[in-house]
Amino acid sequence: MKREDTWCWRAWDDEIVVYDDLSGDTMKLNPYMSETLRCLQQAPASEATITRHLAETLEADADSRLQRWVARAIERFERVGLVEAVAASEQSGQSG
Amino acid sequence: MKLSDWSRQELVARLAGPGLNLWTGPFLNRIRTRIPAVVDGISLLYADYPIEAEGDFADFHVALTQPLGPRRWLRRQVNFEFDGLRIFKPLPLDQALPMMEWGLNWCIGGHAHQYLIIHSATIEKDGFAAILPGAPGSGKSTLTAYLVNNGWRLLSDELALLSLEDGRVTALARPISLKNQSIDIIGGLIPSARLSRRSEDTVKGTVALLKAPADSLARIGETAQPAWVIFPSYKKDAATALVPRPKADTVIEIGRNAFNYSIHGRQGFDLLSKVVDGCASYDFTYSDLAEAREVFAALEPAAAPAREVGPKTSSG
Repeated sequence: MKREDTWCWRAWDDEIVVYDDLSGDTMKLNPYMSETLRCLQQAPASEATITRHLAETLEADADSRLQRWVARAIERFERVGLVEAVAASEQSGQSG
Repeated sequence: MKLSDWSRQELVARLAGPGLNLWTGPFLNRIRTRIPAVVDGISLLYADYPIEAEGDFADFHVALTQPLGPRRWLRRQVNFEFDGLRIFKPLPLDQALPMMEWGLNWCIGGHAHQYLIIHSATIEKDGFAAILPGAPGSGKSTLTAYLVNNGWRLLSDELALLSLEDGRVTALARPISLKNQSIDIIGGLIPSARLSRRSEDTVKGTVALLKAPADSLARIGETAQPAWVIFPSYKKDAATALVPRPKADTVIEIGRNAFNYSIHGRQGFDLLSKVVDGCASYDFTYSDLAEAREVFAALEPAAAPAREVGPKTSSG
C-alpha cells in the first residue's frame, strides 16, 4: 500500500483527521484506523505487518480477528482513495 | 456618512424608492421596503452604520415586500427578495424584520466565498477572537449579547468570516438575534440594551434583535486573530465549566457548521486545520452569565501548535 496524492491529514495528540480531496469528505479516524494510517505513512506494508504493528502499539491480540479488521480497514481506505495496492516488491521490511 | 444623518422622512423615501445603501462590515447592501416595521427596525438597529448616499454597486440587492392579492390584507405576509427573486416562502408580516436579518445571512453564506464562513458567534478582546459555534438553543446568542456588553467586542452573532489568506476574522457587527427568555434576561441585565419590537411565533420562537454596541461598530474595520474555539451550552442550574475539547473533534464540528467548507475543498481543510492549530478548544457549560464573564475574562491565547504528521502534513 502507498499514500495517494488526493488526500491529506492532520494529527492532534493521538487523533487523526483525514481530508479526501476527491470526495470532499473530512473524517476523524478511530485509534485503530489512525495507527493503521500512521503505519502506512512510514512505508508500504502488508496486512500481516500492520496487524503485528497494531497488536504491539495498542496492546491487542494479533489474532485472526484483528487481521480481518485490518483487511476491512485497508479496504475502506482504498475505497475512498486514501491508499492503493502496490506490488509486494515495493513493500519494505515485510515478512507476512 | 451614517444612517442617523438622514431624517426619518428621507430614510422612508430611500427605502421605498432607489433603496438604502447600507454597509455591514465588508458588505454593501441595497435594501428596499415599504413595510413600517422594517423601516422602524432599520432606523433603530442600524442608525450608526455607514451608508452610501449614491452609487450603483451593491453586493446584495434585497427587498422586503408584501405579496399582492388577498395576502396583502388577510393574514398578511412578507417576502424576502434577492436580485428580484423570491428565494424563500413568505412569512407572516410580523416576522418581516427577523426575515431581513435571516435573508442577509443567507446572502453572505451563499455568496461571500472570499471567506470561509462558519455558523458561529465571534467576539474579540485584545486583538484575539473567540469563535463560538453553537446549535440553535445552545445559548450562544445570549452569551454573546452579555459578553459584548461586558468587555468583549462583537464581531458577529451568526457568521464567522475567516480570511482564506490568513484565517483572521472580519467583523460584521450586525444586530444580535435574541430568542424567547433571553430577550428579558439580556434586557434586564443590560440597561442600555436597545431591542427591536418582538416578533412572535417564528420558527425560533419569539425573536427580538439587539443593537450592536457602539464600540463594536466604531472598530468594525479591525480584524482579529482566532485564539479560542468554544462550544457554549446553556444548561439550567448547571455549574460553570470550561473543559478542553479534542482538536480533531473541533475540526470536524466546525466543518459541519461551515456554510461553504465544501466549496473551498483542500484550501478549506488547510485553513480550518490552521485555525484550530492556533486556538485553544473548549466545551463551555454555563447557567450564570456573571460566572461566564469571569471565565472568559481569564482566557489566555493558546500558544502550542498541533503536531503535524507526514511530510509537510499533506499529500505528494
